[in-house]
Amino acid sequence: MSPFEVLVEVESVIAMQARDKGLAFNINHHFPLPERIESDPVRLKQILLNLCANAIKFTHKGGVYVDVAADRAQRALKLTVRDTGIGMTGEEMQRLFKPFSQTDVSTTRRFGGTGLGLWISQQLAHKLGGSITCRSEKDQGSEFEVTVELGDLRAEWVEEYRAAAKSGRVSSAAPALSGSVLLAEDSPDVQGLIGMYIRRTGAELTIVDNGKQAVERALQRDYDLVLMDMQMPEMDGLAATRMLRRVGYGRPIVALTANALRQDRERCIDAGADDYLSKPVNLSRFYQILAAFVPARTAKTPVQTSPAEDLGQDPEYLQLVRRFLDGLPAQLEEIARAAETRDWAQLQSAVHKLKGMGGGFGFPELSASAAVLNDELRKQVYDHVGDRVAELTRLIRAACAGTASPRAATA
Amino acid sequence: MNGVNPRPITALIADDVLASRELLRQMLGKLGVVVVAQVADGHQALARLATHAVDVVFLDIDMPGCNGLEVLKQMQSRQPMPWVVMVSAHSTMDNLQVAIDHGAKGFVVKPYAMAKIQQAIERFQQAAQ
Repeated sequence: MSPFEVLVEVESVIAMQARDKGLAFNINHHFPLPERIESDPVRLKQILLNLCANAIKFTHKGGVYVDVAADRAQRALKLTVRDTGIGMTGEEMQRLFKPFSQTDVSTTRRFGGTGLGLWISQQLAHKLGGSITCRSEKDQGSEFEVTVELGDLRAEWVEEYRAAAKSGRVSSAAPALSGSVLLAEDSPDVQGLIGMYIRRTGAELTIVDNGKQAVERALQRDYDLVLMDMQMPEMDGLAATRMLRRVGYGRPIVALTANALRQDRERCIDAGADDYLSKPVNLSRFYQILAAFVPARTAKTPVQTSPAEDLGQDPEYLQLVRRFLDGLPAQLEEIARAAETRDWAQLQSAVHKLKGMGGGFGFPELSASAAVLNDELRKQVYDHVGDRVAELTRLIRAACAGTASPRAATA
Repeated sequence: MNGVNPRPITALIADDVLASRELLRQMLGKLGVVVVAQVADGHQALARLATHAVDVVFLDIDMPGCNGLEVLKQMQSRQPMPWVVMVSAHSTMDNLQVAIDHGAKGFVVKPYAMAKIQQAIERFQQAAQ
């Protein structure tokens, strides 16, 4: 079985629970890790889901972090589930792995549950040739370490994040990078958001506003990656990419486009882009692309995760969301005016902009609604413009009034 | 650069700064490119190219007298036109556009880095194949 696949499945379930509760959730891969291990994926997943769900249940601020490492000497895979939750006393810990024993009756009342989960998990871990141990401190958080047998060690080993990311085996946690990225993007909102995504990796970031500057900067210095928005003033991303390629710029360029149609993507590739990302960006794919092109940080120790790395609590992110919201009334006005005067080109441009941003700032329904209208306008279907604009108006008002709170963008 | 070429790639360097020419010559040497001539201004470059053909010309833009872009324009009317890589300390869009419009195949911005020069030569090799 592939330990990566198990972790991706666990992440897909737990990341959402964490997000709903406003907690950070991160899986930290400590490479090298075996490509496959001789174990039971169903049981391993059950153990991890149980430990992570528990961790989330008993954590009210901060986050839950999973560390994965292989110990070749002990022929064991070690998975540590760490939280910043309420923690336990020594006495409480002693009762932990006994059936039907939650730490006390009040716990059952407050948090529910049967008290069977940890006992079952421990039995499962034994079946996988390992065990679960726990460390905890009252009010500081808990740490559960699961070990399972690796089995045959001759399996292939994945040496670094880059290799794992290229094949989609790891997802939305920010990879630790050490290279340089040039971001060419005209919208200050998107600059802020994507810029923040990039800074979280530790990569060095340069931001420019248009294609002309992108060409000039890229030629002055070979960046590890140029992220090129396709629609920019002065010189658009397609023209800038073409020009760079014509004068022999050989480093990777990835196109950013709010148009997800296949022909749009093909145009990016034809112009010389190596790959493309659609806006609003899917964070896990974004990090996959970044890790595929930008060198990994070489330090043996991985970056320490902290609650601030959770987007939803990151002050920088919250400030960006605020700024995005502050700009919404003006955007709405622009949309309403264009619709009223039947200036379809203007309307599409405004709607297109909104589509590319909403999701990134935690308002996916805004992006989705804008996408519907955008598609209709492309097809020159104007029958529902009134309804669509009314819907957008409603969503924008809800967002600004705070009745729809942002959900931090993740995978 | 893997030593598979039967004949080495030849190059001409036109740059008014001696140190700049020397650095580029050293880098090209490491790539197996033979620099057959070094000149310090545009007129010398044109004169030299009239009598001796080379594979690649590295042409500095900011030279006194006849600058690199002027040289490029005049070279365009001559056949066969060599593979021209413009060289400049600046990457202004105006210069880039003129370079592309007049048939330059590359644009290298100083300071030189081995990777940039290698890329420029590799592109020439790919096109020559």
